Amino acid sequence: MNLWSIARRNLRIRVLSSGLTTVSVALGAGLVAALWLMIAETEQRYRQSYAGYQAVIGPKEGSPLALVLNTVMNRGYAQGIVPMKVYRELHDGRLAKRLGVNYAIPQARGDFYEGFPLVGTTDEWFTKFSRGKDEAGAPVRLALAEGEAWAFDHDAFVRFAEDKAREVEASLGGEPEAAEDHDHDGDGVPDHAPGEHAEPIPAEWRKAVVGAEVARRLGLSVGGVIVPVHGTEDFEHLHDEAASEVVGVLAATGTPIDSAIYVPISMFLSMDKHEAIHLSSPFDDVTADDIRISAIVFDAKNHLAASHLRTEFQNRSDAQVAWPHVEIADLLRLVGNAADVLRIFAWLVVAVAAMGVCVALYNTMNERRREIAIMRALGARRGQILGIVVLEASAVSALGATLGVAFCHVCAFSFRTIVLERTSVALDWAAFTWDEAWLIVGVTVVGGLAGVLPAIKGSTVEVADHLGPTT
Amino acid sequence: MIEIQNLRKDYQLGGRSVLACSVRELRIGSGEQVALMGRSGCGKTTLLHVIAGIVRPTGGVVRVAGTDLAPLGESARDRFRGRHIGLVFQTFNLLQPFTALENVLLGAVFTGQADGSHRQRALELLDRVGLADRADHRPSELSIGQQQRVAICRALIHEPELILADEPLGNQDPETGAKVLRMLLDIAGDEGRTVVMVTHDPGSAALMQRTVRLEDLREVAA
Ligand SMILES: Nc1ncnc2c1ncn2[C@@H]1O[C@H](COP(=O)(O)OP(=O)(O)OP(=O)(O)O)[C@@H](O)[C@H]1O
Ligand SMILES: [Mg+2]
Repeated sequence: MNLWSIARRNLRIRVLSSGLTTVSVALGAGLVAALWLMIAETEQRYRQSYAGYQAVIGPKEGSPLALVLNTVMNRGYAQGIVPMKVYRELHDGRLAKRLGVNYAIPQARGDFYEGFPLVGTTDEWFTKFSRGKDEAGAPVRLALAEGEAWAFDHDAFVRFAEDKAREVEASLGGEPEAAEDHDHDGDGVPDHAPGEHAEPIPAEWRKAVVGAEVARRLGLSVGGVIVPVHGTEDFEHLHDEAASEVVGVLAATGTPIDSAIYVPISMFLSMDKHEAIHLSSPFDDVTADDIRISAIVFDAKNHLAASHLRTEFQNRSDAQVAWPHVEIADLLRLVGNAADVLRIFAWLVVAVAAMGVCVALYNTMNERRREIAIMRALGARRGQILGIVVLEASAVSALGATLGVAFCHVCAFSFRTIVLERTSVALDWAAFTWDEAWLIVGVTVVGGLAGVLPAIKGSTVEVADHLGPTT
Repeated sequence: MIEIQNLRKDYQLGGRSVLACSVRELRIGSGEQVALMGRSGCGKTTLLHVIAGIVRPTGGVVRVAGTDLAPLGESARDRFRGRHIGLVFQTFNLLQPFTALENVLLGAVFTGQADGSHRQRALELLDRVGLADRADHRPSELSIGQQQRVAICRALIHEPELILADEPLGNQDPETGAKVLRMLLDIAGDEGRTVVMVTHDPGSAALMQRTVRLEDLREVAA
């Protein structure tokens, strides 16, 4: 028997009061823990999302943040175009050699299917893009959960670009076709650019690999069909000619990669209304370098490659370079500010709960005067009485905090599917963090401090006055 | 064991000084069993509280178990009391949330750790007062006489040199009272402990070795 067992017994005989204060502390601590969990998961997700993107190169128009949001996070719209010339420099040209390129993968964007963006790219997206290294040091490639990836490599892309350039060059040199001939839907806007023939898109290009999230949400699997929709809300156009078969489903990565559909870039650039060629000047010859793409995903062996690129493109007018880790860190700082406000509120709830502990104990002190006087008569020092009451406060707080944290994890466990669906945040409900251990310690200390006031009241009871026969 | 000289205890009440207790000289030897008598309000309880270090005297010398209490601070007096004195109150003052055994152990918790040996002694004491099978009962489940016996065990658990009892037989029928008192005196006698007991009952006082009347000790108002 010791002071602790006395404190425990005191709590137990006031079950209701102890229970209610415990619950209020649990609520506060649970709220803090839940917030931490959400914030940590969100930050984790954002951090994971830029793995593999050392730099992204995109149009000069728009901000680096918009470029990163569009290319890495699948948010917003492409801000403009980059000529293929830049891509070739990065893929196997001058810059590629200088920086020791690991990969430079093109992206063409602008179409959607059921709200998910279509990304036109080459199969290097599946064979070269790497989200980091695994324990063995091997690159972590995108894996397929089902089916297989389509094949359309860099060389095929270059051939496609050259064909396209020739085609456009020929049509510019020849008889211009009447604009009306291309306006099949009669809306006054040509359905395809002059020189583009509404030829059927080859079936080998009409293949799609969908991200895990797309597959899950839309119930897509191998053999499914997607029909791209062009662009914005006020101008939507269904690309029936580009109906593509789903040939593969990517394994989940927990990043925005899961939320896009990947198609051969040739398919993307062959769709109606997609102007594949960007004419820098009507007097120049049209070449493959004029093919327009939206962005390039870049990674090099050289760690300084990203800053070299930045310097390189600072003075060029055809593209800009964005650093995903910097842009996303900036974004997180914004999220962080909002999170701080929430944190303050959560701590306020803890503070209110601590006050509850204080009031609940304080109220018992009058009825406990006699009991305290007896303990004092049995040799208990003021400090020991103080200790017992503070122990009670700390115990209630520690129990409350532990329950709160545990409850938060139980909630995370029970809501993990819903949260995953709504926010695509995969809650790691089983992971107990050091932060949570410190939260429990912190709440225990705060609760213990809240017990000091009632403890002082208790320890100043006049012993002689309360030992006589009960009146 | 106890040496008191020129003791006074005054209380200030509404600017007026009330003399609660006054003793010119009192000596009680080690192992003595003394009955303290006197009419109501003459200061018996106050005197016990002074000896126990619960109340600080206004003046005079109080020496208990070789310790001069006057210069001691509050926590030192608490510690002194926890170590050297066992108290039995008129109302026994058992703590309701605790079992009989735990109530006994409470007498040792605040000065030492109520460890295995204390537990052993507590069970022996309970056995000695015939409550071995009631160790796990709460005070509310015990009769008044049984509660009183538990209170006696609590006063003895930490092997105090001095046991102070304030009308421990207050509300008892004389027979039960005498029985319980004999138990206390037996154990105290066997273990050589000093006992000072306040009582109004001449029969109880007769069981003690010596009787002191507080009025006789009063300092002649100078
Ligand atoms: N805390 C106090 N404040 C003021 N006066 C007190 C206080 N405690 C005791 N007294 C007074 O001191 C006197 C002695 O009280 P005490 O309790 O010692 O008497 P007692 O001899 O034990 O009486 P009884 O036999 O009725 O128990 C009484 O007149 C009482 O009113
Ligand atoms: Mg009295």
